[in-house]
Amino acid sequence: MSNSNYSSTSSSTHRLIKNKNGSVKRNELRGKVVVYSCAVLIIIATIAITLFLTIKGLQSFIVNGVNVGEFLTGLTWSPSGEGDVAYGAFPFIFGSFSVTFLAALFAAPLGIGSAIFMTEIAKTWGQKVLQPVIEILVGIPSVVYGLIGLTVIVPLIREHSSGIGFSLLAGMIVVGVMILPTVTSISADALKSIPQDIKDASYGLGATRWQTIYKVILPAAMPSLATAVVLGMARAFGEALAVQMVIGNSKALPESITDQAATLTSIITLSMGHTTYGSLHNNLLWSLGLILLVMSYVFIIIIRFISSRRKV
Amino acid sequence: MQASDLGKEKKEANSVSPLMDIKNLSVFYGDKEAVKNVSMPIEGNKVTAFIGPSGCGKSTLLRTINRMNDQIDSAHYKGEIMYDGVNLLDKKIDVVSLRKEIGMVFQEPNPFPKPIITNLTHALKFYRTKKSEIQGIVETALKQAALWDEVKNRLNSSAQSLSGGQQQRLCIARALALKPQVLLLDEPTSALDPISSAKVEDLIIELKQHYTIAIVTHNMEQAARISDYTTFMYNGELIEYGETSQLFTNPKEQRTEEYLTGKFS
Repeated sequence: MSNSNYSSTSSSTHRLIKNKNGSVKRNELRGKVVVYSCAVLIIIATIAITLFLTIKGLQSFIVNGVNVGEFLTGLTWSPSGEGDVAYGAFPFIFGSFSVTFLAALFAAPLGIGSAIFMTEIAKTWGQKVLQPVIEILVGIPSVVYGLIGLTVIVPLIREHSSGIGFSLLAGMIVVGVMILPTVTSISADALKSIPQDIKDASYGLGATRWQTIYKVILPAAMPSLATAVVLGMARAFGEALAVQMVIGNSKALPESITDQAATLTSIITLSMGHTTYGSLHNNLLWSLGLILLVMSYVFIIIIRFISSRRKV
Repeated sequence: MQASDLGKEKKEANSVSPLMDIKNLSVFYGDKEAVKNVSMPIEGNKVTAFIGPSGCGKSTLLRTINRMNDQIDSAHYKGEIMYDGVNLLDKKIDVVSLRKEIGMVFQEPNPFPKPIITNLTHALKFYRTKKSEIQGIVETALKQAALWDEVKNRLNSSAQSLSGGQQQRLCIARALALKPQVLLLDEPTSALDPISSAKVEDLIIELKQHYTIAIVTHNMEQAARISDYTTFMYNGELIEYGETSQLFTNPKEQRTEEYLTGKFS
């Protein structure tokens, strides 16, 4: 076969001329189609979800004539009230942001600290014991975190504060623990990727371990550590179930950290089931969803921005 | 500071005895014996070169002197490295002060990803050097490393904007800023082009006046050019130690001769 090809001089079948109908060519094409269609499907899905959510989310403003400013800053939420209809979503926006930032405040030092422990202090123990534990933590479903929060943290806060236990604080702790493994494992990867060269340089100059960690390793890993925290925040912002179980879902703005609150996600999951499709209430929930989508885009842009700066 | 003064006095007092004396040193990584029962002196204000094929233990030996092998959990030692009346392998040795006095430059240039000046002040800050002194120390160190003229106008730009050769000289300057007694150079030119290598070699010869230098190199011509004493190691053993001129022209051991003539590598 190859022999006959080799001696062939006809231009259409010459072994060095592209064969238009060869089986190799057909296989190439088949692979190309599969891979391309996967990519196209993902892109279409993303665009479709964005488009759908945007259209649905804007309905309340366009069809129902809700004032955007009032929606974003208003303090009263009673979209299906018999009497006065109010659609101020600010308490939920505030709730979502406070839970996210407080959780990050809780998870960032703990996560980065344990990542340092794992990668620099107790390398063998950290990687044999701590890493698997963290991987297990990532896999625990959020409803379990919610349950634990409900039975442990909420009563604890109730005993030690004037509130009823369901609170911003409970939400912060539960979400903080939830995002802790994400922050830890990404931080650990970031710290591991710091070249041994630089560490040697620092130790070679007589720096202690702590000086090396503090002055060399952490600054070098800073962009990746920031990415770890922002990724954790993105997860915290979108978390619904666990938060909803412990935060109290009050529609008023919380006055203290032990006060009840609500987040965008918890309001959507709580109310979506009993609203009529196309009603003002239903449309308003879509608008809340749109805020979530916009925020997740913002988080992605922040991460992109941080990692693009790292390469310089 | 006090310790280094003591070191100088001692050096002047008994100019016959070497600055450092390695006695029956064995270094293990777990069960593997990387350096086997090595004894040799390192003479003060001279350049001592370590040559030998890859994996012969020469870098391990060098890294043992300032205890960089302590970083590796499985590493342990037998024997002694006597320096200024103490055994450097003693558990009581403060490795931080040791590494300040016995500086090290590595194979790959490894400046910190920070401004040039910060690379030099980095360690000085740990030792609470006075701010008024820092500027002078930085300038002196960069001049000693023959880098001052090239970087004096851009001390605040990133060290990574320098060329490989400049980075390596910066690493040498960084070690010199701590005013060490001894400089350990672990294949300092293997990642550099010939011109940069030549500059670093000139620098080493220059530095010999003030410092004791131990250099590991793969490049035998380099060892011949810059060193006063040469150690040939093979399979963790010290095969031959002697004056460079004698070892290269008239080696006593057959294996040294075979290595030098390229019969094995």
